[in-house]
Amino acid sequence: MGFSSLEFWALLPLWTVVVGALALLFLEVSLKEEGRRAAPVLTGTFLIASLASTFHLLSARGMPGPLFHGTVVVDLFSLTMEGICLLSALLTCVFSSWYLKQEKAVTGEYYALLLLAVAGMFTLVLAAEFLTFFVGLELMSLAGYVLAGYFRVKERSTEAALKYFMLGVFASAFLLYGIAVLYGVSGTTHFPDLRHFLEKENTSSVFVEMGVALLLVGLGFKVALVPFHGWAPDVYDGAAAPVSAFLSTGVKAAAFGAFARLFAEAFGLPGTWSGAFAVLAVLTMTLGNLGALVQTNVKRLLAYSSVAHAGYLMVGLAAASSAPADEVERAVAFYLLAYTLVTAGAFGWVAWAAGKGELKTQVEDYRGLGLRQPWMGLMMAVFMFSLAGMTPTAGFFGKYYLFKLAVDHGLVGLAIIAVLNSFVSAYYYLRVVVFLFMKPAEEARPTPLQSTWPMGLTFFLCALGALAAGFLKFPF
Amino acid sequence: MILSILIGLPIVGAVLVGFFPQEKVTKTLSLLVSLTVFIFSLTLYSGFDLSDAGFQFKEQMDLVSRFGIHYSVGIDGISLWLVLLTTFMTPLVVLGSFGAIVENTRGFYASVLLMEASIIGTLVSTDLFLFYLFWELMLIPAFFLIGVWGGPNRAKATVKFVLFTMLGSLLMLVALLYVTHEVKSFDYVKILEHFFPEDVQFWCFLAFSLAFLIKVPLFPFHGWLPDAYTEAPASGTVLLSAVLVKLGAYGLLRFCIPLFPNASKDFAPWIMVLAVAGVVHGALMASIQTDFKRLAAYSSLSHMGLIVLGIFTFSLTGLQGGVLQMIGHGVYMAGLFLLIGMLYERRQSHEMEAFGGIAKLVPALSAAFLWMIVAAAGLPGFAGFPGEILILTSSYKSAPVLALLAISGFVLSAWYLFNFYGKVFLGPIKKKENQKLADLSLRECLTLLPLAVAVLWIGLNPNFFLRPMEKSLQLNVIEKLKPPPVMTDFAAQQRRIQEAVEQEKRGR
Repeated sequence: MGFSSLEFWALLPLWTVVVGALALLFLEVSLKEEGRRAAPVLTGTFLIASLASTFHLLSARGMPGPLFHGTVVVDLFSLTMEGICLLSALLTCVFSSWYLKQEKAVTGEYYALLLLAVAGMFTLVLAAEFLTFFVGLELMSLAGYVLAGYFRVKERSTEAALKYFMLGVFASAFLLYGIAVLYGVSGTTHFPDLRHFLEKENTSSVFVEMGVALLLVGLGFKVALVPFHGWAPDVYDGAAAPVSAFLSTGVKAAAFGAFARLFAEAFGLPGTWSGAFAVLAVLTMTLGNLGALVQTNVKRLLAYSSVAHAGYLMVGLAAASSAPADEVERAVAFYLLAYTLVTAGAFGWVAWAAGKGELKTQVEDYRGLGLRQPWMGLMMAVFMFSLAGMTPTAGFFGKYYLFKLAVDHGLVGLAIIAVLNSFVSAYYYLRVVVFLFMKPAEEARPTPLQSTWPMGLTFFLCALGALAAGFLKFPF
Repeated sequence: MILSILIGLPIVGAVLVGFFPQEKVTKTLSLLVSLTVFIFSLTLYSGFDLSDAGFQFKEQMDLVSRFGIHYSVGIDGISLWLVLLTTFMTPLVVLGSFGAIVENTRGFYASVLLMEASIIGTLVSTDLFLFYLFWELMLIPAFFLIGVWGGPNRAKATVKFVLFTMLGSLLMLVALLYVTHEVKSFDYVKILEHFFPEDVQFWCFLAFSLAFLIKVPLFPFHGWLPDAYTEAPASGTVLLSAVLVKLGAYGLLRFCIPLFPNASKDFAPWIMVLAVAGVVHGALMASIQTDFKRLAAYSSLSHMGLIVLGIFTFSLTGLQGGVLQMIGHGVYMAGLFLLIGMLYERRQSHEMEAFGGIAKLVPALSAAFLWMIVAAAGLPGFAGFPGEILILTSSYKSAPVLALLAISGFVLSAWYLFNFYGKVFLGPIKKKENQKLADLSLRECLTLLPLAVAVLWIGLNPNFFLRPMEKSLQLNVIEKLKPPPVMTDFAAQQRRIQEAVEQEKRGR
């Protein structure tokens, strides 16, 4: 079973990261010290190469479409999602290179795992068939579990990994059940065939509903929708900050992208599901925001905020019953891009500000930091403003597109609940900025935090991206 | 081009200021930028076509083409004066804060310039999305201005201010999404031509007006105001009271009334009652304050109520009075708050008790105070008078009881303002610490002089300000409020009914 050159070129971003992961493992074994030192640079190179090939495919006219007998589909949406995953991985790579050095835990396999997770994400967002979908999801998740528990000497890190693993496996079981049931009813695992079957049957049997519900639960766990979100705060808090950046952006974005594609394209989302989505959206937004309101630990705050953001994304999906699929996917993709830029940036910033051993993650610890180190403070302020959805940041545009989708398709009530949630969220995001700029430091002369230029530049690019993204022209 | 320069120059200035840690460079640069913007803005007046009621100096460019969002700007007679007020005020604010702001200066001046850009942007946007973009952008510099350089309770005050304003604007966002979805365009002029059904008007008016009334703020949405005004640094208070809150009234004039005329008419009595309640409430609260910055804050609140009262009379005199009062209020309030800031710089206090009889020690300062107080109290010949008279006469015609109540608010206003003046400046010198008070410096004189001249100019020559706005108010506000022409052609009406009946028959 050979494959054509088109199939080779269309999946070049995927081959690049797979080769990168293998090369890193090989170097780790054969070169030891030198290999370790070169690992971050090498990872970055592979990621950038992969990003370049993704851009090349995006800018090419006409999309390859379904490949490998319809198991994967390379189109605008999957390529965009690939780009977002790569962005998240790149940011994580920069933050980690510095963080691992500080914690004296430099190893090559960390980066190999990172690249493997990216390979899993690619497979997931490219999948047009359930088995490929599941393989991608598992590859991504397995690498994620290990990364979450990477600092195994730390108790909290181990706890985080265990929790993540247990609930992750649980969710996978749900997913598999759902896939099995749907296969049993329809006799196919291909998304287009499944859609065809569902449209032809027209009467939704109880098994179809059961299968879709099981899939919804499984994916709900993966993207941390309320009531399946219990693991998120502990995991994002316990894992090292750069890893949290990766888990809360790249992993979540890939899972959400697959989620959107599955429900907008494969199931065509009949009306009844729209109601369930709306309920999930309201629950997720509201409880996520209420949870974040009472947090004093910035990592936990960001974790709850990431739950709330999944809720906003669900608002867009709830509108999918009457909106065209590509419109929904566009809005979701833009939102994920904006969210990835600033959430990864914010976690990275915490990794910087928390100091050695991540001891300072309380919001109280950042009193007056913005006045002492204005540029770094300003970057975090931009991230917070964007998360709060204030103009002119990308966060505002993202919310705008999602809520517009809801209003355009008759869900005005849902949009009102969403903006009220956005209002509540402004309080806790602004509180971080208040501590940074408006509360005097307790010590007379705190030692300034060291920063390296690649890290500062990365924050700057994230903030600049967050300010400019709304005005740029995107292919999607 | 000129409007883009007015928006772009302060933004560029703000970014540049951020790169210069030296205090002197920061100050000079921001003063230079704001003065240049003011000089550029003067060409708006000289090039303004009085006979054109529509938008002038128009510019249009794609912003987010996929959604049909444009960068489109223009000004008409309503926004002309507010833009000029903003560009006039910013250099004075910059100059006025040279002494008071000693820490983190570059952040301060960058915020002031960013604020100027976003206010001008809000005033000149003729695309609803762009308007919202600038409207919300304003919050960020204001948040920092109050929160970083303010008084002891600044953090609480600034969060309160931002959250109050955000609640209104987020609900407005939903209404805005709905409106633009109905019309399938973001273009203000196109939306203006669209007629919305009654229930849509009702809800959209509520959402839009909530955002604007919080900003004004109208009683009882004024919860943020006393704290924000008191805690903000003097220059921040000047920007808030002189310019920022005017945008609330501007929003009512520009969006609420023309887009939802029927709902406006339904709600007008309620809003007028609230406006007068605000006038009286503000005046009563002001007269019991011992902290004179708070006194000025409540007095500002009271006078803003009058502006809303004038706008909701829906008569040309009332509307003109409202806009004129916006300018007048902007100028004398800026003067008062700047002077209060100068006094604070000398004695670190806002309490009336801390002063007394200082007119002998600082004659120039007290004369300047008197000048602004006379204007605020609405004495003829000064900035407060013409606007007030126009508003009160027109509201007397439509709602005499409300007008009389509003007048009582004004009597009180004169009383508490002069009472404050007497306590602080007249009589024997009470405190020894005050012996060493310095009089106005040259820089402070330069800051106050333009305001003092403007106060007199508005008072003596109101027609100069009224003329450009007349046509735009007539076309954009009053015409929209007129009921749609009644069909007088009886035969045509008959024919139409006949046709409808036949069509229904055929349908069956």
